[in-house]
Amino acid sequence: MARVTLRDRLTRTNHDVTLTPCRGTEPDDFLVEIAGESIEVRISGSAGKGVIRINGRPLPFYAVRREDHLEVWLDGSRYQFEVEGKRRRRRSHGAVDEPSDEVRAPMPGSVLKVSVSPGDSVEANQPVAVLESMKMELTLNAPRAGKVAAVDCAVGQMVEMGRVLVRLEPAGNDDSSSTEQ
Amino acid sequence: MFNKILIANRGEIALRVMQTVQQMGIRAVAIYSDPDRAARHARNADESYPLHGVAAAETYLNIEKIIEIARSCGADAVHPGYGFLSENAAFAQACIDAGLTFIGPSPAAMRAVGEKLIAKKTASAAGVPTVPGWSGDENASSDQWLSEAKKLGYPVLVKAAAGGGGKGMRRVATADELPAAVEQAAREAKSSFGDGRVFLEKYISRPRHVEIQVFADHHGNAVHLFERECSIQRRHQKIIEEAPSPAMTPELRQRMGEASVKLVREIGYTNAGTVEFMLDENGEFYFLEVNARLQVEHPVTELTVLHDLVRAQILVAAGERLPFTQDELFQHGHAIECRIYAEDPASGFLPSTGVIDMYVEPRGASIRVDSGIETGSEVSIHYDPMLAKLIAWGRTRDEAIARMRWALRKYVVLGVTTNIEYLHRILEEPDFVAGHCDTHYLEHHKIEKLPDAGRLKEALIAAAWASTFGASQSESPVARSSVLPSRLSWSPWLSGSWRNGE
Repeated sequence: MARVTLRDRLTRTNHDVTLTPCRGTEPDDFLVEIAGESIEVRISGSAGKGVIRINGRPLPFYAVRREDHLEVWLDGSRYQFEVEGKRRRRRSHGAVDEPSDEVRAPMPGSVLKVSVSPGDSVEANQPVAVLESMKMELTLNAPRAGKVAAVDCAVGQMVEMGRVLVRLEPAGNDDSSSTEQ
Repeated sequence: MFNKILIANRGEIALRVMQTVQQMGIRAVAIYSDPDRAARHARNADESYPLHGVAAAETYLNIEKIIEIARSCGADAVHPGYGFLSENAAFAQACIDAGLTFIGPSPAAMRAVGEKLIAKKTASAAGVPTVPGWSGDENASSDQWLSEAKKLGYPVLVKAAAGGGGKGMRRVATADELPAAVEQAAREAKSSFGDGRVFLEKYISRPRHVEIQVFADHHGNAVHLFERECSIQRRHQKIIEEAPSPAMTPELRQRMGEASVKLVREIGYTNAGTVEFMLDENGEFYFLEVNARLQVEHPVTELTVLHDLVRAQILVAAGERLPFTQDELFQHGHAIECRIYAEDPASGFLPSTGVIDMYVEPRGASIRVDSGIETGSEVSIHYDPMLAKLIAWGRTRDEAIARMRWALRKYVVLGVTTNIEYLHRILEEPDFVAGHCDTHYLEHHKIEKLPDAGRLKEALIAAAWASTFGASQSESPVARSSVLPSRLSWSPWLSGSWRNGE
């Protein structure tokens, strides 16, 4: 029996799936428990390619895994999951699921414009900076409503990917009496 | 005929040109940057040579390097593809000076059409209808701009004379927006094209983008190969094209075709080119510009007109006559092309980078895929995020649409986010199916940008099974310093807006 917890990247919800091989029938038969249901499923395949059959109806799929990141193509759509349980808390850019206090450069480039200063109140998605790279302009927005704690870049400056450009005061800490320098 | 052609490009167009070159029995030479050393175009050529570098400026845009490779490997002609140096008159001239044949128009013809204002004047002089406008003046006062705009009638469009791809362009609805718009457009044009001149045009609402494929040889023959419609655009980037245009009538087609051929003769243009027009709601057409190259969307012409346009380019460049006369050309059936981009519609169409861990193209009768990628290809920020072109042909437009929908649902790309599901939704839109398109289609139709999670349960089961038993393990490293990890395209703080230059 295998039990896996998968986190759907799109909705950021966890799903528990239990697969139990059914002994005595076809080697590819499993009893699947998912979302409170028990379903008989036949799955076969290898090297990232397979077919899943529920009630006789076959659905081809492809699956690729890269560390804890699992991608599945099925019936014309792509799904992205994280395998939970073995998930390491990663401090790298992008694995953050909660709204962050930081606005980081998503790619190397030069700072074209900064439209906030320390002490400013910002709304969620309000533009805070513009980065330029590869003939493209990227407007960076505040990840949530809050107060700007610091601006760690200057117009014209070249920044590397991941560099923090603007910091917000930690959430719940942005009343006007506290100003962090 | 040439013995050896160097293809000064990469990706899908390099492969597509290479196919014709090799089919004609000519040796194909590829050039490749460092990241492209294992790319399909580098591997499929008869000879391939390194460019030693990463960014386009040091590789596919480096005229000296390319000419040197062409000379030292004994190539006798160069095909520039599209983008990169394909419309660079200095490159075309450098080829000629080095004793190489440039497969495309002459440097003079390129210059004649490269500058939009000059092209517009030439078109007008040739009797081709143009959009009412004012050519602008760097020394003009605000008042003069305002008075010219008033004559045209709002809304007006401020456009860059040396521009393209929407850069240096601003739509202005009222007089008080005009001075700032002119200033911003000029600044953007200066920084993107090195030329800050801007001009005014009347803004045509709900225009359709209809272009005519033209071809001319060095024997005085010039023809048109009918039209393509490219109205489905996102921020001035075409994403769906088709031939014929659903808005065309035989009479309009003939008038536009004849006007295009007349312009070609007027300029003395040779080889392949495209004359772009706007078609308004009343069936009036207006000249936009001439593209002095083979276009991305040329396959929809090839599949309906049944001629290999790259082959025709090579023949013309080698001094032979056009392999078709106007009387021999006809349109057969309907073709639609969808451009597959590595981008994430759900997060503002940000480019998605990473390694393509799984790639399976749809295959079938009347399905064509022009692609430069494969499983294991790396998609980086250095080059255009277009991965492939998917083209479907049908006897009717409805049949082409049905085949395209089928093909999009069979297309497997894992490892980067693509616009495949987004394209599928456009193909299901009633207005698109009815042929009611204009260049603002995507602004006026709300199209779901999130991926379709209709089979989440089955996908979860497949994922659970794969994680325990049988997923394909990706072997290449997750992140390299020059590559944007694909997970970033989903990060919640990466909610910025992205504008892409041509």
